[in-house]
Amino acid sequence: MTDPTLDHLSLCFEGAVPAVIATAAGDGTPNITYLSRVQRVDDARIALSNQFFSKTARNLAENPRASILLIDPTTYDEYRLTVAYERTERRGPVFERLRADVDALAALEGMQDVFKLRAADIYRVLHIEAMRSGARGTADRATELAEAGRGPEPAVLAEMAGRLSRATDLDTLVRATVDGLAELFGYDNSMLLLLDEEGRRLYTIASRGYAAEGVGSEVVVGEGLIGMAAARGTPLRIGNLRQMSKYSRTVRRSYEGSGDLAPGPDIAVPDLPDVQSRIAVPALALGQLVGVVVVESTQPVAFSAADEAALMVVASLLAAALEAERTQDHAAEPAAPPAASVPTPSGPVTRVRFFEVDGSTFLDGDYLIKGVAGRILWALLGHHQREGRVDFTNREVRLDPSLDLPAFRDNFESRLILLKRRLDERQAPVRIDKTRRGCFRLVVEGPVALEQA
Amino acid sequence: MFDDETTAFLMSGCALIIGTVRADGEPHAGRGWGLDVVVDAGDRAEVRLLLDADDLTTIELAAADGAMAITAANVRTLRSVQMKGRSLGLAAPAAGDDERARRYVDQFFTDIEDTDGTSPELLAAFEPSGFVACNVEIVERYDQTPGPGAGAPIPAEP
Repeated sequence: MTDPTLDHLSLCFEGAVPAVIATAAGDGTPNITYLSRVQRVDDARIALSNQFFSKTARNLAENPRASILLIDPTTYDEYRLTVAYERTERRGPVFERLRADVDALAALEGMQDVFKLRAADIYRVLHIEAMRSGARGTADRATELAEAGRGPEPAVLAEMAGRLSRATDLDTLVRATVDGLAELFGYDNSMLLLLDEEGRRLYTIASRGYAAEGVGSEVVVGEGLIGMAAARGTPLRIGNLRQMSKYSRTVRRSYEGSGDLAPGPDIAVPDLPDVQSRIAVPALALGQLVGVVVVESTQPVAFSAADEAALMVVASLLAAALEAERTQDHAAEPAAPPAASVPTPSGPVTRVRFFEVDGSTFLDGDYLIKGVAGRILWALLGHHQREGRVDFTNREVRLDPSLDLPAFRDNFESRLILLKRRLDERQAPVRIDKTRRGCFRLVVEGPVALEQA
Repeated sequence: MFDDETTAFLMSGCALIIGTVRADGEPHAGRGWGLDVVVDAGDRAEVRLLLDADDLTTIELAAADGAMAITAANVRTLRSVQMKGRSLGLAAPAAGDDERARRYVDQFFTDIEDTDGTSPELLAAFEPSGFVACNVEIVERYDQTPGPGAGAPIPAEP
């Protein structure tokens, strides 16, 4: 059997099973504790996150040697590393990579303001001992890991790029994204969130593989794994959410006990029961955040760096397409609305209640949507009730001052699609059908009573 | 040294990690597979600890009455206590050792399976093929629960 190298330990660095570090003081007294994160630096070095372990730090100042236990979460093979402390870094790529991991951990329980990486301690690896590798040799393991880490083939990325580039409107584009992630990449659970007009929240525009599509659910930028990926503009990946959430909750309790943190709100995202792995990749165009692509799995350590790279490509293609769609849409929109109107069918009355203060809209007492999407629906239903109109153009609705859209880079089209998808998801008696580029029809299946609060 | 609740905690299916030190000062990390508090005399306690029979370094250092640190962590809550002291040497095998190890492994693995979703098949491969007992004198104890207070000494019982 070949001696293991750091190549064999790649999955040990995903943080799925807590690592262990033993150090010794100058007088020979040992100390043993768990580590929150360990990362590989190069072929001969690893980096350990330094947040709390002050006794470990004091020991290393007196005696720079340590013994570390790492477990591969997919095989439970265990390795013992003999290491020597080399240096501490407080900036640079190694620190930033480790900080992203710690931020992801903190974001799980809203601790991003207090649970921060202080330093990355760099160690030279002197020896690796495979403790429990079973019958399988390390050469076989290296082959397995190489295959697992290869990621999607270029042809798959090319097909995805083709699908996105053929999408003729936003609705098709977001559907093509989540469908392509499942059909081409095998990511069965994905969601796509777009940045709102103020740049403070992300809202779900499409998802696939969840019990509820969750269209319209929101995530605050900077909160949770998704919000943190958006705020940082870098992908965040967690391979064992159950373990990490447990650790994060424990740390949070200790902060609450010290009075440093007040309880925060829950983060609302479409729910995948028993989710173990999550990766959130920001979609950027021209250096600006457009949205976030999220992929989840119930399998631990389901996503590798190769998956992260592939999703970064998809997110970039998506962001570019969204930007192109936005800019093209204005130019292509018809200026004057068609004059068509149709009588409303008879039937039970749907009561639509609208709250001016935030655009919250309820259908027969059930919450539907808020914000710009709610204002759009209210404006459309007002035209329908007053003038019997059903056909509209994006341009005329976009210019409606009651929508309170920003003059520059408005999100009208995505808000309209959000509204359309939300109405479809709720099987509401009102729906929006696209008729041609820049035009849509409001389909009202029965009488509607409008109430403004 | 330990109140009843802490004694019960230490003797449950906690994850047990062990730190020892070679004569040249090199630390060594290992795992424990069952712990019983056998003496508690106020300012000191004695525990009987089961070691992995394949971890020859820990066994050698325990046999040489070396310094030892033991951290017990509840898998479900991550509450952790670190105990420090010195090995009193390897202990003669007792009739109940295998049964004690079995009870420990069953609870430890059940907690991991319930909380982290790890399959029993994976965990089975993690189980040592045999155990060696040692006695350890405990003279210090620390709260090692993850967070800013980790490493704080636990005050003595009144």
